[in-house]
Amino acid sequence: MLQKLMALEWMKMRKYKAFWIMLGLFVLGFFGLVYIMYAINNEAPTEMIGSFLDSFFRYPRIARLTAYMGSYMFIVLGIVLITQIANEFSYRTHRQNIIDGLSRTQFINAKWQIVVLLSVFATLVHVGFTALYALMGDGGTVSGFVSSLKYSLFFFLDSLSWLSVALIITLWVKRSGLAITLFMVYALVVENSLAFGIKRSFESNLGEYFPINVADNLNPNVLAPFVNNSRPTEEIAVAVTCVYLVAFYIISRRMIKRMDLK
Amino acid sequence: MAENIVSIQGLTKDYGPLRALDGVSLDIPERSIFGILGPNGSGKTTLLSILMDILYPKSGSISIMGQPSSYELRKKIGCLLETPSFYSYLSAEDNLRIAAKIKDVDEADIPRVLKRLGLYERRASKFSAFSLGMKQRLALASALLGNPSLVVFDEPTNGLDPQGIVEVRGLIRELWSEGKTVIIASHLLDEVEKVCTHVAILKKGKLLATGSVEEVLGEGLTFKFSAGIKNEELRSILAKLNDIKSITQQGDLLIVNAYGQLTAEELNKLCFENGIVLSHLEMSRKKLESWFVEVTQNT
Repeated sequence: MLQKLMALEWMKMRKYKAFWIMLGLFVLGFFGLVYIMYAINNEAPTEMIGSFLDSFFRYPRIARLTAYMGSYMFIVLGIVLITQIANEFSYRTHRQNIIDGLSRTQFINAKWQIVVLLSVFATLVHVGFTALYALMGDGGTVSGFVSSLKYSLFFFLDSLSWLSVALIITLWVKRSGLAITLFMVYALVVENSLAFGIKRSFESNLGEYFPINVADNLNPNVLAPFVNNSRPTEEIAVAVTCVYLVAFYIISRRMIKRMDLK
Repeated sequence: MAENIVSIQGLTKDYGPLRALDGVSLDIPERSIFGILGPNGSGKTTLLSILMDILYPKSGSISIMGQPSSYELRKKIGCLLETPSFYSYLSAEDNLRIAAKIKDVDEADIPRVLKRLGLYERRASKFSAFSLGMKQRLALASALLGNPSLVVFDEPTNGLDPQGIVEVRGLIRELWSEGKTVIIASHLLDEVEKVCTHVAILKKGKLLATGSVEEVLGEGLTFKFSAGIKNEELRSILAKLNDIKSITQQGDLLIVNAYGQLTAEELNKLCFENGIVLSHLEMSRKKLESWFVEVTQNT
């Protein structure tokens, strides 16, 4: 059944130009963001910044740098997902799929497959760019490559987290424009503002455990000159992210199973 | 007697404060063309949407082919609900591939349905490039994938030109002659009268009447007689018949409304046997439209 659902989603996506253009943007943007750092490293006077950045272009820190820079591009992946799912609502093909014989659970599972596949794709891009920039840096080693895979896994979980939020928002509002706006506002403004407000008012790091923040803590800003001590440990961040993912899956299933498909 | 392919019991559906369906119970016989009639907003599409699991009822139950509705069962039903829903950036053929994949139907069936609906030559054209009529045809083609024994069409002639309407009417009759059951929801009474074997009328979510077309229209036979100076004698003979509902006179004509299965031949013979020679005999069956107006206005 999973194969059938995957084949079905592939049939829907493979000729959708916007999908491929957005994926291309993700790859280019990802490459470009890391390349900016690489260019600064190569062209800035060594005594100013070069020596600081230079240490990032070798294993395993290169994997952290690419993960952090690449995580900015999750917005693009989120838009890809939102467009793909909101199209079903705007074309009303979600209804037709159910009429034709898909169960509601199969329909939502197919969408979660896209979430996973997009995250796998993003992770492969991360692995690829990590290896590429390591080669462009100090040449890299196999053991260094293996040691950096942990950060690719963190990148994968971070991607899943962003996309699951995008999925829930899309199921909720159903329209792509509104869903994209809400997704961007939530991911870029709401969580960070709330986290800041909570920290300032209650001196609590609760905001670090919000769905996107907690996953982002797996790919922290390695360029920051200070260390954020309020961050959860990697183990806790992984566990909380997984709990959120399971919760989002259950919520999405309940949403689609209870909703009248008008 | 035919089995019921669909059985609906006490279906109720609310949209907020609005009651869209109010305890509708309905049996749809196998191998019938069942027309669901009603003005806009009467609950026709809501009824079919619940049948296809798109909407959830507040209460009531549906059984299809003797089983509760399920996704496996829906694969055996061809359905066009409201507007054609396809991926605009995909071709007609690619869209049908998706439907075939969901229905577990072999892709080899796609050319058959495209040819049947006259879209084979346009199979590679994108759905977005189709006219409204072609989109409707594609939706009908999709509904026929896998040769289902039950097809459900909601306003099947929407967007079609007169030629297209005639073709769809022919298609519905063909499907029926192949032994399929066809359920049609429409507000076009003439269209329904021309093809349906059974009808049901909905108004404001309530089922007002249902039955075979013969049953509901058979009650509406009208005869116009004239026997010249023997009209009074004719009136007394006709009044003795059980199937006569009313007799009125309009000028030289006796207007007789009758129940049942009376035929003009039988009445002519009766008059002849009583020594009355008719100078005028005309029979007309009540049109579905007038029955519909009568039923809906009385409630």
